[in-house]
Amino acid sequence: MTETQQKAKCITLKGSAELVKEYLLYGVNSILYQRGIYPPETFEPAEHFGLFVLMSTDEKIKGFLNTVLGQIQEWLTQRKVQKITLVITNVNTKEVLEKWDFKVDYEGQVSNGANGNKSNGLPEVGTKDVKLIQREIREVIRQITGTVSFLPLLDCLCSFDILTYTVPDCGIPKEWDETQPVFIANSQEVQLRSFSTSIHKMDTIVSYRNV
Amino acid sequence: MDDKDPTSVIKMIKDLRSGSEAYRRSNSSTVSLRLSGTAYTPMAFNEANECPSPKKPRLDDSNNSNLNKAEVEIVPTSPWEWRRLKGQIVSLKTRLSHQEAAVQQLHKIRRQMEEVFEKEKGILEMQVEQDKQTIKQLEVRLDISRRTIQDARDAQVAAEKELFQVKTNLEQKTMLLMNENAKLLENLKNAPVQESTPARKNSTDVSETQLKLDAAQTRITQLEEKLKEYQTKQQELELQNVELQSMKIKVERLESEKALWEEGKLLTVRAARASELEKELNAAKETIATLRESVRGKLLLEEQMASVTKRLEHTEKLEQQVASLEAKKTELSLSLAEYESIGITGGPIVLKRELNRLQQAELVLKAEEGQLRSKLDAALRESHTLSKNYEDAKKLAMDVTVSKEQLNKLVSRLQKKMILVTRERDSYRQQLDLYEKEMTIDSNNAMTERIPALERTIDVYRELVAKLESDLQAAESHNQADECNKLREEVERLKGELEHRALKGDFNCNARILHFTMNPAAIAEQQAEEKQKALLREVEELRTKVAQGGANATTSVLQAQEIAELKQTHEIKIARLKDAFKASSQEYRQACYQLFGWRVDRTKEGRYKLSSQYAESPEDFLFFKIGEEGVDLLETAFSATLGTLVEQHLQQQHSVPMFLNAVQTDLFNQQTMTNVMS
Repeated sequence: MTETQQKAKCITLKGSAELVKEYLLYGVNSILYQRGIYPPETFEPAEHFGLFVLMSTDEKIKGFLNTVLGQIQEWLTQRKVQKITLVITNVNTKEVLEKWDFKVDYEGQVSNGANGNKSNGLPEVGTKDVKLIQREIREVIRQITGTVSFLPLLDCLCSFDILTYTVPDCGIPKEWDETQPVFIANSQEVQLRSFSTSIHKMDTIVSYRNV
Repeated sequence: MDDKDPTSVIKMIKDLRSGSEAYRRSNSSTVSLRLSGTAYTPMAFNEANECPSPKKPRLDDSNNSNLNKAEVEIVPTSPWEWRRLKGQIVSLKTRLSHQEAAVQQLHKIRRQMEEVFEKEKGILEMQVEQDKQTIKQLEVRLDISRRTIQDARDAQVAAEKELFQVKTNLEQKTMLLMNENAKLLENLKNAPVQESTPARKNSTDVSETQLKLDAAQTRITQLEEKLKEYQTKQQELELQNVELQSMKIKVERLESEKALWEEGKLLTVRAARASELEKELNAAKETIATLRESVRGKLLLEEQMASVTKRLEHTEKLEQQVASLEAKKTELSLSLAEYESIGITGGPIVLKRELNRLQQAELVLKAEEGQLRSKLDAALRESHTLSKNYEDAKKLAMDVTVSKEQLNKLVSRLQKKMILVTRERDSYRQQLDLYEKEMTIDSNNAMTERIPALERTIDVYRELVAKLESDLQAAESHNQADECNKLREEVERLKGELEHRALKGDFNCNARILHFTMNPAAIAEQQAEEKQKALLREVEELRTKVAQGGANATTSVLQAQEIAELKQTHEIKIARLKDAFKASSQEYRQACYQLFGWRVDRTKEGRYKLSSQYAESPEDFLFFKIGEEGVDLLETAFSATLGTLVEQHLQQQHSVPMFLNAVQTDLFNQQTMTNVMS
């Protein structure tokens, strides 16, 4: 009984990583839709966490997101990710127009957590209700949708990239590459809501060129 | 009934006139109602007729009560009169009812008469039908007789035909027999010649012929008899015809007689009926007259009733007025009593007197009031002047006080000055004393006095220095604190910056930044680069092409060919247009020549040569110059011959077309003349 209750009420590290990954997926998709980086007809609504999120139907984007976010999920379970950045660049000038930072903080036993986990091999268990986490995620995604009201119009051909800030001793997987951090000169930052799975705490910050 | 009517009505009117107001008031409504009821429908009348008996006592009661009241107060009318009137009204009503009944009876009689008429009409119609039937039968008989006559005629014709045939047959036979006889006679003559051998035969033949002859004779006789018979028959037939005609005549006469008889019958019947109808009509007229009279009487009654009701209304109004007047009277009497109670007993005259007295008193009072008023005004004016005086005095006093103060001040100032002057005087005295002393005191005393003074000044300076030093120290310590604050601010600023930078994302330099190599941005950039390259290449190609453009022969040749082709086509077009224009212009000129009779040639710009269709020679032409200022005729050999026309049309009328027309008519006349001549 207690176990089932625990399962129902609590969240594991894997579950948390999956939730974060899902959040990233929906967040990135909704940003791509809201910012008009890809034509709106290539998106179709799908209900997630009690919210209609417009998901891209472009196979290339889907494939890219699956591979990248899969890798990130893996790293999240290993606590190797510090930050994930969605960069929107002008294709022609290669100028960075907008940057969405998803900062990851690991809550609880940060100092010895990594060692302990690795040594024990047991999944960490969070104490937060999944429903609550989903509600928080929903709020953040709503806010992302709302950012359209103040973000500058992207009136040129744009593309996006996902940068992952990992710990220095992280190995580079196949088809991955190391790159330089991106900066936006004369930028303006807006911190959105944050949510926490009681294992991962996600802060979402959007930086954009101050016109 | 009728003879009684007016008198009773008059009586009633009289009664009504002499009747009491109360009676009128109480009865007007009911009476009018009843009258209206009786006037129109018999049903209502019946009801009304039944009504009076139960109503009477009630009315009486009301009357009595009313009368009692009335008797007490105003008019002494007796109840028996009122009852009489009522009785009269009832009798009138009964009479009216009788009249109505009579009218109804008359109506019934009329209906019966109409029924009788209807019956008689039915009988007459029946008789007419019977007559018609008899006529029909007679006609049928006549037809039959006609048919028999026809049959007889037919038979006669047939018999005549038979007779004729028989006659002809017999004649033929007689002819034959005659011929035979002749032959036989010849034979007989010839017989003696040939009697030698065929005597016997002859005798036999003769006998035979004799027999035949006899037979023929007998037949002839028979036929003759028959003929006689036929003749007799014919005579009979003629007789019959005569008879038939006479019969016809008879029939016609009978028919006319019959018609006459019928007419007579109808007339007699009508006459009989007419007399009856006249009688009835007279009766009806009489009844109608009576009814009219009764109706007149009724109308009279109604009018009287209406007048009576009007009078009643009037009297009611009067009564109301009386009542109101009485009320007023009582009010007035009350007020009078009040007046009396107050003490004004003498009536209006006394009152008037009193009033006059009062008015006089009032007048007196008013006069007094006026006097008082004038007095008051005078007093007011006086007070005003007095107050003005008082104010003037006040002002004067003020001025006086002010001057007094000034004087006081002056006095004080003068005193001060005096004090100062005294002091000056004192000081001067002291100085004088000092000078006198100095003249006496030595220099040592002065030195001893100066040293402590100088020491004191030195102390003061020392104190100042110490104070300045302490100040300096305090100032130095303050500077350090400032610096510290500045530094702190800088630290804060830097921290903020750091935070800002952290938000921007470059906080972590010891992180490894990884990304998927085939990310959409990279792909897009690559594509863009490729595109750019391709565009650049294309631009280069185009540039080279442009550079070669001048020297490129092939294209130029092609273009030249195209141009040449275009030129050719255009030239062809122009040539065609020219031809078309020439043809049309020629046609136009020809049309002008044929229509107006002038060939117009444009020799120079603005110069036109006109040569007429009817000109005698081609040298006869006119020259016109058409400029901006108009049309000018130029001198030619031909124009010189047209002096009169030029004068008339150009110099007087200023009309070139008229001139041209005149010339044309002239020429035409000449031409036709010559033609005729030729």
